[in-house]
Amino acid sequence: MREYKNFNGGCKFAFVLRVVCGCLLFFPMKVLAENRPNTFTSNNTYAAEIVREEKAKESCKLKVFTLEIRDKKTNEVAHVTIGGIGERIRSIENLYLFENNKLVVHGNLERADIIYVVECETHKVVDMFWCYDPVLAPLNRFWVYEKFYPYHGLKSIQTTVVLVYDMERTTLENRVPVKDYTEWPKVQVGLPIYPKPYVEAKAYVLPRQQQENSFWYLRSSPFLWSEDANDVVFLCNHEKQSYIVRVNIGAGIDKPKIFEAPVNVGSFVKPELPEEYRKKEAARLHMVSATQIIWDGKDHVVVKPNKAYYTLQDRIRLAIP
Amino acid sequence: MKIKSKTIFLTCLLLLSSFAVCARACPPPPCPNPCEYWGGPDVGCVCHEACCYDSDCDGFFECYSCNLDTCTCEDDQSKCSGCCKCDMGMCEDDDSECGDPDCWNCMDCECECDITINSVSSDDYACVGCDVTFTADVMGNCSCVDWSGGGDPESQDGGCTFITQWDTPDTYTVTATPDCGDSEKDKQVTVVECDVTSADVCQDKIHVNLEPSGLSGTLKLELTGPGGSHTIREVTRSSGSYDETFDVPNLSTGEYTKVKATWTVENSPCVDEYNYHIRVLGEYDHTCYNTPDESGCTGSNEWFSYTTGTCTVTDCTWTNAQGKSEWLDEIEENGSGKDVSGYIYSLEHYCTGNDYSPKLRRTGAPCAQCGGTVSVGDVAVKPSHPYLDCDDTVCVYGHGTHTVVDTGSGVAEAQLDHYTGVSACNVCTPPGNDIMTIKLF
Repeated sequence: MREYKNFNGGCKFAFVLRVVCGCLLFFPMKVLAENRPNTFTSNNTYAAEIVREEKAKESCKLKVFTLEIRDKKTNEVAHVTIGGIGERIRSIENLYLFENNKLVVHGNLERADIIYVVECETHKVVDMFWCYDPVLAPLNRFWVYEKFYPYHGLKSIQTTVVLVYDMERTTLENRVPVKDYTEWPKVQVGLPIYPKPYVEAKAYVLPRQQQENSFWYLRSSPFLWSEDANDVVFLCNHEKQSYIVRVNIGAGIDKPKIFEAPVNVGSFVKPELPEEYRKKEAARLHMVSATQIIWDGKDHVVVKPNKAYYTLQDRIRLAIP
Repeated sequence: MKIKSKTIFLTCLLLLSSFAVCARACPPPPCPNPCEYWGGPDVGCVCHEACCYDSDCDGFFECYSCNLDTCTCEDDQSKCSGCCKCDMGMCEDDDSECGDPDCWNCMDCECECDITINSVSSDDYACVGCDVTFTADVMGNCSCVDWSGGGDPESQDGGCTFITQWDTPDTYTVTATPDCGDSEKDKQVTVVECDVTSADVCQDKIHVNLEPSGLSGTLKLELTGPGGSHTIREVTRSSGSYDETFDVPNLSTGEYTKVKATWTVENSPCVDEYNYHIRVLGEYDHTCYNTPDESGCTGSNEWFSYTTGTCTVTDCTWTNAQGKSEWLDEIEENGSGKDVSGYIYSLEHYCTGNDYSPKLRRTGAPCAQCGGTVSVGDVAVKPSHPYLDCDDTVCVYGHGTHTVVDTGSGVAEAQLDHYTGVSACNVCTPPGNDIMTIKLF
């Protein structure tokens, strides 16, 4: 009886039990967040973090994440769930909270990237798309990325289209109309800034690319923004030749200016190789792929070739066109 | 002055006339060779027939012997033989041999080949198929040394040096023998063989034979090629047969055309080069992809639309069908799938119209970019790969050989994507990352 009384009367044991249970319920969320420092972000108004990670019901490969968005002034907390079938997110790469209170969640698919744009005020996911290698520009306004395509299947679709997403624009403003080709909402997001045929057509797909190899492009380096976020630089292969590409969006992402210069890949064969072999390699290599690209002064970049290009120098310095 | 000149002219004319008369009156000149006699002014000196030979084979007889009484015109019965030689003063080229001097009345032959062979030297070890030089230290004429016991050639007449070679490993004895005398000497040489009989980098095996038995030396294994060489290892090995490894995990990237083995026994290196063309690409990441099988997927049935065509062409005629949601999801991300009826689908990208998503294209088979079909074990590479093309064969260390039949723009250069066939709902087990990968030629 005494124990019963104590239990109902708010005895110390009951209090401790309630605290422990409360902690156990709260524990997974907090520990998870603390172990993932890149899954927390804040600005003056909001703080956001991933507080829960679960396997999707439909497939154990897929994940569902719970985002907690806290209003710093009111301490009001809201939860947003992302992931599961149709989205196919596997892991979180990073969170970004912008001054306009848009939260970006950068996650990973099996082999590509997924971007969520969440409005903190409404706690709504206002955009979600698949892409490759998204890079945020220095002034935190533009994302540049490569349009998603599946790794296998039709070859003709596996071509590079470079897109820019403007955090200042609405969901609709970050799209171009889809005509004359198949709609694919989770991929057809952003404004095309490269290659030229896609920019001119304001299209994500050129029906001509189905049969004409001349429309086949393959980005071959990460993206590199200029400090003023006006230029994005990268390497791209086209017609069996590598190009150093600069796209200037200073006049707006609707009017990108494209500058390209072929890369004389053969001139970067390691000088220590035997002369005959060096000449042979120099004559053979016209394309290169880089794993890193960094600025070297205002007018040059240095790229690090993929290790598969083992006869090339470790660093290649290129003038920006 | 005129009178004096005329006098001199007349005197000379008189003198010349007197001489002409005298010459006609002289007796015939004696023949200088006693074998000859004067045959008259028309024929001059003529040989006595008994003393004549056409010794220089010019069709005319020449005369020999200085004394008719003793001229015997002997043949070369007394020609020196063996290791002796004539006093050259007694030799003439006087028979139909027309070239070699013959000895006449050679009673004083001198022995030419009375030589002494002090020693014979050579390298102690030599390689199969390589020239071995034997040198005789001789007091006397080198032409009187005969050699035997060689390989190819087996023997040699004359010479202070003898160069020979053997094509099988063993220990051989070469002998130098003088034409005269008993100063015979010999020398042993061990002919070593370092023979690479096979190489297979995917089996990680280099088969090497080291012979003959009873030896020990340093075995150096290398890969050589136009871009340089790579030393696999350097170890002590006794005679025998070995399966050496390539030490694949530590191979240097590069193109190699030969496996080179050098077995050095007592500072004598023997080299064998085995033609074997490979390109060590380096450590690649190995992922996998499959054709997701709808029957292995879960989820509710959902509508989708598809066109019918090939991997390159479609007529954009839409048909609606239902498929499991997880399966449709997989196709969207990975590009292709097989439904429960066995049809293969890829994502459609060109045809407009129709309401259902995803929009697929029914193709006859998975779209392998090299033009053929893709089978389990085949691999896909990046389309712009610097060293791999369609139909190339690669060895993935520990995972066998694979053929390139497909490409994928999203595949990295240092990556191979392995096709695992139609299975489950995109379930495949990749070989792993950072695995040494080698292109085979």
